[in-house]
Amino acid sequence: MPGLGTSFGRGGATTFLQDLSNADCILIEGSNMAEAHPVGFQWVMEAKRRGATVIHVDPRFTRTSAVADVHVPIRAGSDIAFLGALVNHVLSNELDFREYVVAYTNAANVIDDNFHDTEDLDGLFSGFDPETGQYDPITWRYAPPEDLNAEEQDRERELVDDEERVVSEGAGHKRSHQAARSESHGSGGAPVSWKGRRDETLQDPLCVYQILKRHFARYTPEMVQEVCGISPEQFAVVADALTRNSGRERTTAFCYAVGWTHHSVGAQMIRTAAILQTLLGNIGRPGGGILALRGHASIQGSTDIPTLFNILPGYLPMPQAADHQTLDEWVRGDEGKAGFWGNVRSYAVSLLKSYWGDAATADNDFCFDYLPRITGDHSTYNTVKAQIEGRCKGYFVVGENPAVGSANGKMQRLGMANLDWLVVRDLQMIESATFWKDGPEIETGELVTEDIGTEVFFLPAASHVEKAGSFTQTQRMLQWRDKAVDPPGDARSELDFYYELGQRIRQKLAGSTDEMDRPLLDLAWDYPTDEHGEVDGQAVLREINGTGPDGRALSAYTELKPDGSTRCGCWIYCGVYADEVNQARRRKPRWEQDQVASEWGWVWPANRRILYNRASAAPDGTRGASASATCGGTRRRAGGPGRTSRTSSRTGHPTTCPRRAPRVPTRSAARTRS
Amino acid sequence: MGEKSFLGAIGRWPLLRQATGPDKLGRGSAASSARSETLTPRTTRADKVVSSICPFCAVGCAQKVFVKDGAITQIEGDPASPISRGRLCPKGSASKQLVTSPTRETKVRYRRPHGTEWEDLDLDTAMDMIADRVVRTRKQFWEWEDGQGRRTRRTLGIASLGGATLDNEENYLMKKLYTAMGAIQIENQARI
Repeated sequence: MPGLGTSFGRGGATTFLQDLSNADCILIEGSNMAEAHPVGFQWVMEAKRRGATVIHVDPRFTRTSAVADVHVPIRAGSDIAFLGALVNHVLSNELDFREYVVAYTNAANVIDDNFHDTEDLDGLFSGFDPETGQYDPITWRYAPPEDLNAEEQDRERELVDDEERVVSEGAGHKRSHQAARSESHGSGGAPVSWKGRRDETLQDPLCVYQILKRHFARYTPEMVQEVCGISPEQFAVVADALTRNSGRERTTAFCYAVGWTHHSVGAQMIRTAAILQTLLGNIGRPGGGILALRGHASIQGSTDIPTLFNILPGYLPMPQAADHQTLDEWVRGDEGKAGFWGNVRSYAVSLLKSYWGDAATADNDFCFDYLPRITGDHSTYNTVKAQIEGRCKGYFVVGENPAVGSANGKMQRLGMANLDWLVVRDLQMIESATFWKDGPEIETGELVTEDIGTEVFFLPAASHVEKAGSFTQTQRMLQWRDKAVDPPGDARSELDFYYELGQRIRQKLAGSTDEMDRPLLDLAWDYPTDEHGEVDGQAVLREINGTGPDGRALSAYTELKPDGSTRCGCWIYCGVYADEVNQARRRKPRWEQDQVASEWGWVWPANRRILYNRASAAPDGTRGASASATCGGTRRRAGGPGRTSRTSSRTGHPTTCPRRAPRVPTRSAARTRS
Repeated sequence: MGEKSFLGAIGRWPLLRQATGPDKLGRGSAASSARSETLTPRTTRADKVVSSICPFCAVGCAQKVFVKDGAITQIEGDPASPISRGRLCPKGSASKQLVTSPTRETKVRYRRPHGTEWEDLDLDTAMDMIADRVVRTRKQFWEWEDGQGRRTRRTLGIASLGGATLDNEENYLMKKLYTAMGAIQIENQARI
């Protein structure tokens, strides 16, 4: 999610599936949406029925291609060149939606004059550290405003000090600025020191617009032909469809899936699409946006409330041993800066209060020291190496099957064969639990069952209908599931398993005076249970939402405080339990609300279904000069730089009024590959 | 067979009823029989209908889960959903088979070190053994400082890999407990 987070400050889809039906053009790239997300695809077909152009860019001709107006075969992995050429097409022909770009993007911001692009530095941007292989993006920042206020002066001084320290002590001491922080931009975006100087004529050679123009100039249609295998004619068909279906009266949407994200440069592909959509004015407006089609029910949720090594809930970074030994050090990188990350101390302290409750006080840094520190890349493949080398001996595998599902299954199995103990929780008996008995290495004789010392616990898990809980889905929406039946036999939910495991560990350590046990003993681990001893998931969701000094559920993360008076388990989810109501459980039928259906489930942040929807109105707040047309009692094509959301009648049935003649390239023109 | 009953049988012939009756598509009264008229869909006999969400992809189609005598008898799309409008894809439609599969494992299974077969183990004992092992391994691999003398307060002995169909509440408790344990090698399908 770093591509979207860096661009828009929210590491999630900018829009929702139903809104695709409002698009005039939909470009699907890196996804076989018709097969992989078939029910979501109905909204693409609704758009097509109304005359929208559907373009599918994909190496394979799939079922999605079969119903698209245009299929553009692309050489696998060459998407940056293709998207970059579209950016170049827009910039060199000045086809951007200028009013939008000036008002709602940072195109006019002037960048620090120490910034150097790849042309000047033989393929690297300024700030590259060959020792660490990382960029220090300090020269990429906005040029300081002419009159710095006191806070900005402090920040400037801090940055200069930091640079001097790097020079005198080496890069090892460097604070991470923003390096390796892209994931934490998943909410709130990259922190900026100041908003800086702007040139709204977009002529300053150091403004973002001109830098982009120079940078993307290399991506020509000829280069696309060479790199992507797409002819200039085919390229022109796509470029034309996108630009003609963007602007004040029209919108284009992008959809992608693992065809982008599973590349090593997936974040850059998404980032390029984000630049393109922003230049075309397609973010925050009905029928626009970038829709990330996540592959699993709660991929989005597993990142927002992560079980990931480098982040804590709400994209707070895990503390780094080199840089973060106190609460102050942990938050100082972002604190006070523009944007929502400026209030990072409130989110961080509220999380620590949720974790350690009354034990967390201002005097003890709110138990900051209880957080373990990371020292590099502790992701799963490095962990497997550590297992093989005997440095990691206990392993929980929960609803995952690395023996056959992760890359290099053999390495996974060799790692598991070298553990002291392994806990596997699943619905079915899976290969990761039986590798010691029937794995391929047993068959070849590389491993012998009797020699494998791993103790294996297989615990049956509860299915989605045997427990209550919430998923966070592709449109950032939390939807609650009620429990239908009890799980069979020994099957339990993960919620129950971890709650009970925590209780047992705490009982075993009770009375310990060892400092290493304090974080477990002081942990706020008291959840209400029902008559069967099952944890009430809504109580956990309420803790995630957060509570105020009076113990009542909070409504918004703007209410969070840095003084320890509020608790919140995931600041971006604050509001999901507003008014003491499980908002994720809302199920107002679609026919009782408009197409946006804001009373069905709950969407982070702040139940906002389209990010930056301010951009659907003109800068002065009006709908702008063009008159809005109505059709069947439904507003269409409200003006402004953008159309306002189609507020349909209370029946909630999407409008199907005829639209003007579609600008659809003919199929024969579109398939001129041969 | 008398003439009357013969004509009666002809008259009940579905094709004739389809051709001459109101049910031209043969999907209603023309296709019914004495037996089929006594049948009712199992959805109408449910004790309760529970609101749920499909566990497969992330579109978030709403499901209605039909329960009879404590068992799931059917899972269907919920027409009230603004996202899915009652539709489920083939996988979502088959999610009843995911949850009622006869091959689901419902008992704890235990393989002792160097063992050649699974053994039975009761859940309570298993939970206690796992808690013991966490305590032991955590301590064995405890690290106050890294090689450069920087405080780390962690254990590198315990790792976790989770799927992305875990609930938010589950992920929350997992990360909270692991963090308090000092375990940092916590990963999820979201990065894989």
